[in-house]
This record gives sequence, C-alpha cells and structure tokens, in this order.
Amino acid sequence: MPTSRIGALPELPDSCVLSSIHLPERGKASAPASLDVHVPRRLRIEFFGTGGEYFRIWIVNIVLSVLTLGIYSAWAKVRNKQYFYGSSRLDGAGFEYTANPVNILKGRLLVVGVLVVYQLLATFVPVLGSLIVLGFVLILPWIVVQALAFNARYSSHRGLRFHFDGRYPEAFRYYLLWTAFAIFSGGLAYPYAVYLRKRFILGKSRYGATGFRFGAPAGYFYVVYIIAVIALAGLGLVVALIGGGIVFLGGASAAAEAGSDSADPATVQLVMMAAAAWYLSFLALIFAVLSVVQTALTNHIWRHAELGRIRFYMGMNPMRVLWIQLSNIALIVASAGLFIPWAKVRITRYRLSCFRVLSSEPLDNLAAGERARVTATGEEFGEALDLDLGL
Amino acid sequence: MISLDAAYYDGRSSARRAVRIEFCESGIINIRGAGLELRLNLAQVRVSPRLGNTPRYLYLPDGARCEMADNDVVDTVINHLSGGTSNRFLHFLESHYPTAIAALVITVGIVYAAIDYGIPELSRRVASSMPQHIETSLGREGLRTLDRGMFSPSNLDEGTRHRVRRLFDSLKQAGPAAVEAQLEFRSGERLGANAFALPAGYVVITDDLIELAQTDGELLAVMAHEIGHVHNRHIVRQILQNSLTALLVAGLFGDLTSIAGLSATLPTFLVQQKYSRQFEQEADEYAAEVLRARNVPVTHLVNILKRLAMEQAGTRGKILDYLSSHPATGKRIETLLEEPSGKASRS
Repeated sequence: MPTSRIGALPELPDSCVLSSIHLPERGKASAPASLDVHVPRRLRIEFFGTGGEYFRIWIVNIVLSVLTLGIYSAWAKVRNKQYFYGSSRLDGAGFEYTANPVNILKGRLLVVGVLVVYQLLATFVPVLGSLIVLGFVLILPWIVVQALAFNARYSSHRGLRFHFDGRYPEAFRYYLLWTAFAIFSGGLAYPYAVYLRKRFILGKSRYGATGFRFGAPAGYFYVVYIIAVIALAGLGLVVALIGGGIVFLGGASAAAEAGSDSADPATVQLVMMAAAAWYLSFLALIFAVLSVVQTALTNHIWRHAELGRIRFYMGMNPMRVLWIQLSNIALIVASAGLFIPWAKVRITRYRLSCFRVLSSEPLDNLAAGERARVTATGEEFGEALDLDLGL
Repeated sequence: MISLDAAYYDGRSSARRAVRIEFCESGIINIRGAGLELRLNLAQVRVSPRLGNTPRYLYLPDGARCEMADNDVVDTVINHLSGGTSNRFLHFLESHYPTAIAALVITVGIVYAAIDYGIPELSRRVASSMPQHIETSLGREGLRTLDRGMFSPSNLDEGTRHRVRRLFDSLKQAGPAAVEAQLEFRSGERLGANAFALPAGYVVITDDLIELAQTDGELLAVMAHEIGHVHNRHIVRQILQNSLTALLVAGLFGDLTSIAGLSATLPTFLVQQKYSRQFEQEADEYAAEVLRARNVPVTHLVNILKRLAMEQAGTRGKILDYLSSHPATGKRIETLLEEPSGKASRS
C-alpha cells in the first residue's frame, strides 16, 4: 500500500527549531502506519534533489537558452522549476509544475516589448515617459496577481491544482495604498502592510477547492520589525564606529603624507580598500537583518496556517538560514557562478527539512472542485491572458 | 508486456489509489487497482518527459493521472512502444557529466565572445547607423537631466570662455576626420574638476577643470580626450553595450535572481566597467594622436591626468582596477608615454 511507504522517515535534523507543540514525530512511533485519527501525523516534505544532478540540468538548459538567443529560456524555466517540484515528496506524492513554456515565452516577450517601448518613449517624449511610469505603478498589482495566479495554477500535487483567487482591487490596496500609507506614517504602518500582503498571498490561495487559512496575528509582525530596527541601529552603530575609526585614521595619515607631496600609493590603496570593506559590511548587515526578519515571519505564518483540517509547522533557524545564504553568495562569487546549482539545492533542502504538515487524517479527503470555482472567481480573465509575468 | 506499480489520482480529489499498470505489446494499457479497472489505448495517454530522477506522470484522457516512480521502466516502455523521442535526447544531455562540461565550455566560450566581440561590434554598428535626430535628442535630454541635478551655470568670464572655445573649435578639425561637437560650460559643484562627453557631440567642461589646467596645452589635451569620445561615438555605444550586457546576464541567470541579487548584478557591473575602461583608453589614444599631430607634447595630457588624480584623492591600486570605470592613472600615463611612432603612422 502506498501509505506504508512513508513508514520510516528520517528524524527532524538538529538544525531545525523544534516545535513547542508536542506532537509525536512520525517514524518514531512503533506502529508506523497507524491510522489513529486523534493523533496528528507529522509529515515532512522529503527533498531528493542533489547539486550534482541539478548542475547538469542547469548548465544544459543555459547553453540551449544561449544558443537559441533566449527563446529556449522559457522551456528552461519549466525544467528548472519542475526539477525542484519533482524532487520534493510529501507523504510519498510528488509535486508537479505543469506550465506551458509557450505561455512563459509570450509573457517574457510582452515584458521585453513593453520595456523597449518604454525606453523609446521615455527618450523621445519625456512627458509620456513619466505617464508610463505612472501607468506601470497602476498595473503593478495586476502583475503581482497574474504572477501568483500563474504559478499556483500550474502547481499541482496528488492530481489537484493550487489556485490563487486574489483580485486587482485587493492587490491595489495592499501593494499600493498600504505602501504609500507605510511611507507617510514614517514606517509605523509598515509591519501591518507586510502582514496584509502576506495574508493576501496565503489567504487567497487554495489547494483544489480547499482554501488556505491565514491565522497569524499581526502583533508578531510588529515585534519582529521592532527588534529588527533595534538590532540594525545597534549593530550599525558598532560597524560605523569601528569601520569609521579605521578609515578616518588611515585617511588622516594618508592625507598627511599627501600634504608632504609624497603620497604613498600603498597607503592610499589600503585606505580605499578599508572604505570599501566598511561599505560592504553595512550592506551585509542590512542583508542579515532582512534575512532574519524573513525567516522569522515565514515560521510565524506557517505555524498559524490551516488548510481544511490540516495544519502546518515551519521551524527554520534564522541564523542557520543566514549562514547558508551568506556562504552561498561567497561560494557563488568565488566559483564565478558555478556553485549556483548546489546553492539552490542547499537552501531548498534546508527549508523543506524544517517544514511539517500536521494531519490527523490521511491527505486523501481534499476535493478538486475547480470547475465550479473557476467562473465563480472570475478567473477567466486570467485564463484568457494565460501569461507568466513572474520575471 | 511490461508492468509497474503506480499511484492513481482521479483529478477530482486528493485520494490516492495504488494501481498496477500493464503495457501490452498491442498498445493496450491496463490499469488495475482497488475498485478500478481501466483499459486504454496508447494513443489516448501522454507521459511526462523525463527530468533527472523525478517521478513521471501518465496523463489519462479524463484528467486523471498516474504517478510512476520507476523512471527506467517507464523509459523502457516508451522506447519499446513508441520509439525514441526528443525528450530522451534532452535527458541524455542533462544526465551526463561530459555533456554538462561541454555545455559549460560552450556557454563560457559564447559568453566570452559576446562580451569581447559580439556586444561591442553590434553596438558599434547600431550606433553608426543611428539617425542623427535620435542622437541629438538623446544628447539634449542627457544634458537637461544633468543640468537639473548636478550642474549650475558657469561662472567664467566671457574672455576665458572665448579663449577655451577657440581651442575647442581648433580641435574639431584636428583628428583623422572632422568632428561635430559643441562645448558647454558648467559649474560642477560637487563634481569638482571634470569633463564629460554626451551623445551628439555635447562636451561639458567644468569651471574647476579650466582652473586646474595650468597651460593651454593641458586644456587642449583634456578636450581632445573628450572629442575622442565624441569621434568614436562612445556614449551611445556605451548605453547600448550596457543594456545588452544586462540582457545577457539576465538571460543567463534569469531564474536565479532570488537566490542572490548579487550573483546577477556583480558580473553585469564588472563587464560594464571593463567597457568603460576600454573607451577611456581609446579616447586617450585619440587625444595623444591629435596632440602629436599639432606638435603639442603628450606630457600635457599626462600632467593634467596626474593633477586630476591628486585632486580625486587617489592613485588607484591594481586590485581596484577591475572595479574601476577608468584605467588607473599610472597605467594611462605609462601607455601614453610609451606610445610608439607606429601608432601615429596609422593616421
């Protein structure tokens, strides 16, 4: 029976933050395929992808894209994505990315065409250029909705598709009005704007006919962002003082030498490199804080998400994620990009290893119901314009 | 007959049924499981292409599908019943290290050729066939933008302007071919001593630079450098080359911008800086040629470059060369001084 295949699963790695909710880890139980409906099973998404296997797929798709002057890149996108979908298995069932590359190609051509027209107009009719920028801002929410809907529609699992039912007016509110409000409130409304956007993305998604429920309280967003601002200010001050001191002292001694008309190029060079390192450490600091915020919010959102009677758990360790990201960037730069496939596999494997699906019944009871819902939600417009704009 | 185990999903619910699929020689497919008995024709179904070792799907006509884990058996079936397909070839390319290495070598070769030859050559051709009115409007728009943000009107007296303009005009006929160029005086404020060339032959020179120049020879040298940019249509070419580079890098790493924005922006930046340094060197060569033809010592260009470098607080080091838009001043001076007579004979 297929269900018995997931009898023995590896345990939660130490690197993941363990749940505070005490649930029996599936696989630890002595009776693996126990169907005791009262005890939720903790199902993990297993990831079978490897860097070596993905490297070969990745590079062959790049060379085909280059040789076809970019046309194949739409097919390459589907294959790259499908590799990660297909290498992930939940309860023995894989994920599928079924987008038609032709639609992705059309979407890309449309975007390139719009950019070219914009460039030309902005150059020759500057007034029109600004109008187009305004127009672009107004269609931005539509692009967001299109991209989310396209991605969801062509993601499926156990023969059922995902869907995204968000519409333009809501996207307009959350992506434009609330962003404007966040700016005018001096950032005070920003965490709430982020909360609304995340609620929009998850809350308007569904799997088959069953919608996701977003239950994460907004207060936590404020907690995370307040801590982030304090950390950024504190660490930023430390970096500013240490780095600034070094650069200033070095600069002063270099200036003194320059005054005596014998500027030592080596000293000047050292000072310039110190200044560059100082600047880079500021960027790294901002990146680090943003990464930790992102991880904390992702954990929070999944811990309060529901799909019918199914619940979820996400236990990523923010420091571990940050370490993987920073070392990935360093290795990508050092390898002139060759490490990219391994980097992608590495971060995906870690993220999925910290994710759990909690269900007290088999995952068999979810219905498709899409035919009834399609017209009801007015997705026909999206279907007519079945383009991937998720560049 | 070949048979394999699979999971059946009807497409209407997430329920899974374990089934056994039998592929018969006749092209008939039997799918059997608990409460399920299907008999289909090979022409009615579609099998998803192989990709790494990810599971395969047998799509049935009513929206149902079977998920099959055993890729090799699936391949045997497809091969046996319907002959080889292009998907098998794709999988062959994607699953072997020798083909991956070949792909890598070809990619690096093409990218190198594109950066070193393709993009510059294409940009040169487009720039030289660009209608004059387009370039004029580009230049005028560029100057207007700079006037709004960086420049303020020049504070030079009429006499100085007249003197500099005469020097400038004398340069327009000095090169291998007459150059359409137009001198603009501006006060640079934060920019300090500097000179710029814009499309359509606009050359902007800041008051500070005119002050910094100690002799007319030095002014001639700097302006000859900028006219070198104009003569070679560097600005339009640079705009084109930078856009094409960004497009190329985006095409290469397009799907991966999320993993680290840096992985896409850093190579773009490095290539663009390389182009910029090449243009500066070409402009230096042009200036040296013009100066030599007028019997003005090239040392004037060397001197003003040195003084500019001092003013901008830094002889740049060798490591920073790769990050720099201009060649290190020391290198520029070396190149200028060792310029052999062979170069001049070309003109």
